[in-house]
Amino acid sequence: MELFLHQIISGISNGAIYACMALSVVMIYQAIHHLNFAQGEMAMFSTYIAWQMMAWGLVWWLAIPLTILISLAGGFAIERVIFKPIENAPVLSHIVIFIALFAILNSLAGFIWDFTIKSVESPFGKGPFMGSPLLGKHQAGMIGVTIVMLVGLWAFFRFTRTGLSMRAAAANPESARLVGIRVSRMTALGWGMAAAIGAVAGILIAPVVFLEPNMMLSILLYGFAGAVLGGLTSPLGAVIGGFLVGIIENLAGTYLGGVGAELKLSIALVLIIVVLVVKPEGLLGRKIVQRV
Amino acid sequence: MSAILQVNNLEASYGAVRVLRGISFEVQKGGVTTLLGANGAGKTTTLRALCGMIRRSGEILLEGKPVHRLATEDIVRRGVAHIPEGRGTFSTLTTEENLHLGAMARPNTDEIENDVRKQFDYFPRLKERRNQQAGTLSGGEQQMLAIARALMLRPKLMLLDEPSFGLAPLITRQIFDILADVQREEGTSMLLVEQNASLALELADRAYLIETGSIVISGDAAAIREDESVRASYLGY
Amino acid sequence: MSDSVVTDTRPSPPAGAETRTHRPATAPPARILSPGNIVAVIVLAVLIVLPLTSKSFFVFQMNQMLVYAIAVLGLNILTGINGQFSLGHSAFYAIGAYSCAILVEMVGVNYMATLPLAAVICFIAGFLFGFPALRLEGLYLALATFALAVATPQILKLSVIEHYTGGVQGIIMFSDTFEAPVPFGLPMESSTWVYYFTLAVFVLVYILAIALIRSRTGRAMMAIRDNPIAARSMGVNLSYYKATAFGISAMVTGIAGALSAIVIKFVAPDSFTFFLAVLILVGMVIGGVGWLPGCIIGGLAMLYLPNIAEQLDDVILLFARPLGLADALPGNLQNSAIRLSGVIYGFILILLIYLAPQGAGGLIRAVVSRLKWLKS
Repeated sequence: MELFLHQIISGISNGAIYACMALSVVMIYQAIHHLNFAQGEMAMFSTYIAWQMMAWGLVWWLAIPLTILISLAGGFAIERVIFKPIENAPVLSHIVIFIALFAILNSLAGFIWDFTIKSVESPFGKGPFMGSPLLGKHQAGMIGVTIVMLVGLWAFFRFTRTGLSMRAAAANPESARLVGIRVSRMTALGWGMAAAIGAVAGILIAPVVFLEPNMMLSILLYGFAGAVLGGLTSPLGAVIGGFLVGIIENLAGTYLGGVGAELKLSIALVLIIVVLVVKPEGLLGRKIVQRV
Repeated sequence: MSAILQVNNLEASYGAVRVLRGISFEVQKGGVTTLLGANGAGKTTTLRALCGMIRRSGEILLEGKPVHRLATEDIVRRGVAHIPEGRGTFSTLTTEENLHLGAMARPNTDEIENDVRKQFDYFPRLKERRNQQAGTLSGGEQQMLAIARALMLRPKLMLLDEPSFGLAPLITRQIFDILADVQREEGTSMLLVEQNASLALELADRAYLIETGSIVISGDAAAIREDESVRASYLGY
Repeated sequence: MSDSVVTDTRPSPPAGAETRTHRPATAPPARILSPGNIVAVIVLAVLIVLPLTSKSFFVFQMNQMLVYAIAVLGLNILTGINGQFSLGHSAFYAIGAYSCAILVEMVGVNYMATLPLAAVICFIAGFLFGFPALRLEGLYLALATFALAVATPQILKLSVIEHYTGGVQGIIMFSDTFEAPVPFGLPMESSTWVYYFTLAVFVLVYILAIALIRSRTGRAMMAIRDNPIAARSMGVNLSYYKATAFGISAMVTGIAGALSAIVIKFVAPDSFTFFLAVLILVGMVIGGVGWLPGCIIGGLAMLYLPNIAEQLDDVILLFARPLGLADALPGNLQNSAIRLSGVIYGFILILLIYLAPQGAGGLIRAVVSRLKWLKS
């Protein structure tokens, strides 16, 4: 029983990574009704920036907020420069551009910082959390930060004018224009916020999986799985979905024998397919009806 | 009386197909002008062209100032509220959120809560459904919501695209009564596109008839209403 | 302007309504000697004569190109003809490759006979994947196939099936003869034979693809691509045709995979990653979505695109050496193009989408219609 509990808690703390990534994915989806396949690479790049600043001697409580700001601006800029010109192009074109972005960021990171693995210190410190054998300080930090971000986002969307504008712009761009919302600005802002959240995700993940340019591809997959499971239209769902994916992955690894550990990515795959087929709007998402 | 909207030689196309062939008309300040015509004549296209939603050329003057080069959002911010075909409701957001969105283009936020309350007084049905997802409202309620949302802008000019569309006669009557009230109390100028000519001509003071992209008849709404030959051949009643 | 009088400004005579030009319901009758057919014959002739005039390494590369062209053709059947996306065709390519390798090395089937078997296996795999994917549109389907592609290498490395798949190390083909045996004692090199075998399969598959487009099945698939709801209301069974499209597409790409096993003589899990799926997709876009002849251009792109960075490095050195700058390049900048190959790749893709989103097919069609307009 204790093993089970341990696995659940461990799953939750792994899940915090996926939850963060899922949140970033949902954020972009809210802004542009698209999935950004380069989200992971953007997060990875931001993490490198943070690492570099700390390597230059900046303290973490300066480096990290600065990285978040840079990521915000970067996401905004990427949308303006690369995606705005093709905003009316078919989906396939968008997918190719996402892939191009993926390739550029991956290669650039490898060029600047090379492909050797770097270890990153956790800003939360090492060791058990409040003396508990089940939870480490970093793990507790991850869960805490994720929850704080979630609450912050919820408040932003629910209570601020800009948040409402963003939701409207994503839901119905034409009507949004007709109430005076600058839709393209909202889209770019959505990108910026997604990049910022991704940066936080990357910074949280790096101490656990070590920093290297290819760290994010499988995590992106888990992030997608979490977002789909929770519902692409629901930030809360994304977070819950991310945690669930972490738990399921851990339980499978433990209880399905040696095979379980090797099957982790396949589990994400199966999860995505099952959810998309059985309940495409996910656990908490809203059903989107297609009018003829 | 000055014109709040002057349109000169407006042309518009969808891709290679030219739909509006140089039409000219105006809306008087505080007045109601209606654009009548059959399906496909170019009425909705006119409204979309005015708001910059499609490619257009020609001159559009709002309160004497040119707006024909502006983007949709900027035209709206000058005080033009456009209720599009199909109402344009934000179906996944609540009724109240829809109202708040109507005021998005207003710079100052102090009066917004008061205005929301005022709209709920105008439309008690909406107040009942304030926290409901707007997509679940009935057709008539969505039309009321659309009008209320437009009023939240405190617009100088309202553009209405077929408010009677898809609504039962009783509800349509109610809507037009509300529009008459609003026009009387707020003095909002309106450009009304309609297929239901009789209702439109009751509300309007000036009317234009569009046929395949050109204005073929223009004049006093009352005069057109009286003119038997025009009514018979063009308006079907 | 008189306000109280009705002004009638009807033009006289009444103007006729402008009719929209309609596309003809049937294509203009095909001429045997059309420019398209002539080009096809020329290309085919070049491909046939190739091994007689080129170095064996170049033949090997063109062989690879043909394999890639078949893979692109497979994806084009799904996306260009049926309108469904896939970021996961590397999985079907892998299934084809591994089917061939296992049948040859474990079961002792003749390598040429594995193709029809691999085709059937991949069709079933594609059809089965197509069924749950039925209700997924655009983005969601891209996501599901993305997951498939990312998971595939891991599945191939599973220790439970290691006995069959060779695990991480994969399978070496033709372990006893070291190369594909040439049948009927024909007097040619094994690699030459394999090239002609690939070419023959390519031509066969291409003809079948054209037959598919012209058939009722093909038309149903295209109707689904253009307007699924209208298609359904005309009685087209969406599930059947969409799943079938997936099946056929997987089958063709799987055949390409099987051929790759024969050509490269080696299969391993890390050859079939998400990046391969992306490469196939990019090849299809460069060739032109929905334009079948583009698969050759797509194949060339798949072959040479990853190597562009290397070429670029050579070009840079070509200029740097005579200027005496070669040694001045700081260590960090040497081989810079290769290390930045992803960036170059990405920029090429961006330029492609901005300037020629319809790929080579679109460019050629634009040129042709411009020429037609000049002639008329």
